Amino acid sequence: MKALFSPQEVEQELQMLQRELSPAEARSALFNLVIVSREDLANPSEGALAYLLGKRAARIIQIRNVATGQSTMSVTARCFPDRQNRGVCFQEINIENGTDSAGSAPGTWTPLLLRDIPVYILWYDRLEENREYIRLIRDQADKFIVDSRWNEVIGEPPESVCSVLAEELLSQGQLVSDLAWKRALSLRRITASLFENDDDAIDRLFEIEAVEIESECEHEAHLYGLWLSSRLDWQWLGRKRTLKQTGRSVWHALDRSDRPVEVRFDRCDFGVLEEAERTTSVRFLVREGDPITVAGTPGGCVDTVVPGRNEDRQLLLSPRAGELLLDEVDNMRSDRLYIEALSQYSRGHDAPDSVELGR
Amino acid sequence: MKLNPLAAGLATSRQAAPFVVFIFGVTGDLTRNKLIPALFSLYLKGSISRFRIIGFARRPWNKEVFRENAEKMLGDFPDVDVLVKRNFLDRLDYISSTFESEEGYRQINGHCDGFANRLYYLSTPPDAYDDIIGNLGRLGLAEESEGYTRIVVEKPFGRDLATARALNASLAAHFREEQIFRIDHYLGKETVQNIMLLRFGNGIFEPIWNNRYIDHIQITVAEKIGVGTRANYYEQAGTIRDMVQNHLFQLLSLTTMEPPNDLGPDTIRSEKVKIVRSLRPITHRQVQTQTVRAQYARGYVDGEEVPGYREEEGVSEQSRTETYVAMKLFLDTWRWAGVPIYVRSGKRLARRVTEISVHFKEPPLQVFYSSYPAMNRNILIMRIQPDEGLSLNMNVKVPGHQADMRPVNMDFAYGSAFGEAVPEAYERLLLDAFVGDSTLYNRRDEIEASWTFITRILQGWERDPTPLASYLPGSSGPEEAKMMIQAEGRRWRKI
Repeated sequence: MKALFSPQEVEQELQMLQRELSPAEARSALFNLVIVSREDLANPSEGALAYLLGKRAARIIQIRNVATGQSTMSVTARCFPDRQNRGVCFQEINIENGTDSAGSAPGTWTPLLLRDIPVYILWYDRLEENREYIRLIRDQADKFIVDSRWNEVIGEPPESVCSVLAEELLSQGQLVSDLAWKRALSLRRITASLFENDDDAIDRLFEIEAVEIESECEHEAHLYGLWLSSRLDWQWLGRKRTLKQTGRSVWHALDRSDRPVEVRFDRCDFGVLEEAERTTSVRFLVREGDPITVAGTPGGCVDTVVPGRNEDRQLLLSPRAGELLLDEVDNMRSDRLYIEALSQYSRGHDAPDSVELGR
Repeated sequence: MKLNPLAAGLATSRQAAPFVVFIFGVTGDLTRNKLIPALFSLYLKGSISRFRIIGFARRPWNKEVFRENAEKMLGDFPDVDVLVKRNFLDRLDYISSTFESEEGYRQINGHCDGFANRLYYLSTPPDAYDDIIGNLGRLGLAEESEGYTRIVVEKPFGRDLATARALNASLAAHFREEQIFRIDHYLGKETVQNIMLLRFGNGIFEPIWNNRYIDHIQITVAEKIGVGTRANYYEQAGTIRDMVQNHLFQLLSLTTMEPPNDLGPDTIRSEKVKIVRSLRPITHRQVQTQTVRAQYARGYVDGEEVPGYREEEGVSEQSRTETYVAMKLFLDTWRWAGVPIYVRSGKRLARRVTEISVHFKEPPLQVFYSSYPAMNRNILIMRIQPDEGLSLNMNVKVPGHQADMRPVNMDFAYGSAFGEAVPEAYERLLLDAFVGDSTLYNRRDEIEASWTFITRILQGWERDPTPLASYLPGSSGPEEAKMMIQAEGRRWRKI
């Protein structure tokens, strides 16, 4: 049986390419990044990698699942000189995983991982369909990173993503991160600030009957709901219904007094707006009194309204995927709040009342 | 106050609660070059979100003029959306007043706009400190009621022990120590903070970080530039006040302090002050053998002729202000007994270098031949600037049939490993002040302990009629400094 490639030859070729691109000297790789993606996603990692180039030297193994043909492999390198004119390089191994599945087999790419430095797996494919494969490779990873915004693009519902991550990785003590969770950090911080040093506002937190979220990403709204649920001690019941015509999703939960709470998501179509302009709005409907709101405004800001307080305008940060990924590869940890939010999917859920998935 | 369940775990300890910052001397260079860009960067990162910035200075500006000027100070952020900049600038306001008159201070409460937390930043020449502190105190503006009231004081903190004590007393008359943040921007540098990380975050260093394994330590803070336009200040200060008493002592204490039990501000600062207090005093007589002071002479730098220090504009022809200091120090502690610590700092030296080098002892029995004994010593070099990083100098075998060895470097370049620029020191320090973390600020006892040590040397120098040594621009310092270290069989690292 013919091998897809020889690891020795790959190493030699990578060294040769790196020498050509960085004749002075190249920095040692700091980590391995294994990127799993699919052919119907056009280079989802490219923006993030472009941001990392010149900042961190790394070995990058791209495994792209394609629907036809035999697996193939090629190697490339990209270098950017640092201040001392030494190359900060990506050593890239690009594997097209064909129908023979040879390319994605762990035995194919694990010999190409550099030893003694961290291995991060960045996953841009459906999770539910790949449970078995994830079980096979999880021991190779020091951290498993997803960007569930992309799972939304390929039509995988947030519940699937969360349950696979919780059941297959969290349960094994694996470090897990979701860039979509990190992306919404600013919104969570602003939300928390609405209730800071304000006893009346904190009381209203426990009188919430619905949270209405308008944004472009259902997965981020779902994670936001999970965060509220874990912090406010709700019992998360999962999806209640999805209305395909309006794009509205509704999840439900029971608050700590066993009263029903809904998290409603309405999709915004931002069209050609810049990333910074794509703001999110949130309304907390409380059982008595006026709602508490975070309303997106132009310029990447939000106006916050808490009854009895002056309206305030705050900057809603929308970090790029590259910034988020950089933080992930620099830190060998998972966000405790994310783990707590995700853990609600380890407990199992009732089936939704009605579901019409799809965009 | 009830607990906010949403705030838990959000790393809000690094996010400032709503505040108003009053910058005294806002029209100066520090505000333009450091403070406003640092505040804007914190704003972009979301570390500060609800705040007001109130400038306070003599110039007859108003809020529009302040905002116009502040907009120009954001020149390093060309890619940021104009609406985002506008949103930041909308938070700026201005009080036009002298520092002596109470009138301006009476406007302060009116500018707080409902914000309970306030921070006063003294970005003025030190001679204005007394007026500002006094007025704030007299008008009850130092008091804390619903929120915090803090004051940030820029160096110099006095020019000797007496003046440092007077400044501290003036501050203490109106502010509690926990309200006072004495800033030394050196401590905000990532690589200075990395000294602690390196020492206490790695298990391999601490067991050998003592007099059993370390022969000596060298700390160098070298500058390539001369006094330039700072002659008026420098004539009064000299290198020992400008660099040694503050920056260099910070490096010394971080390098030699005992491991702290935790990362609490007072735990770390208590360990640092123990080091300064354990410095063996240099008596008036010992200043001739344990210190070297010198001035740079006329010479050439990068092929261009440069004046000697006494020829610089604003410098007296009879000046005895030192532009170079070297000292041999000892710490009277169990860990460091008998380990000399050589420190040096100067202007117009060969290059800009700040580094700490830890020179380990030779192996107990050297079985490999070497004609150059110093080659046997391993050296750990912590480079603070430029090219921040670490090098461990080790001996390896030269390929061949002989057992020859030669030193090589195991090299880690901080900037290159992590690629991008590290945050500005002021950004970190300002955020620390907003969140109440005083770890990287100087405490009163630390300042006074360092001045106690330095003042004794200053008095010794005053009584010492010996002419100051001189050195050529672009050199590594005066011969006298070389002789001081060579007398004990050691040598300075090349600059």
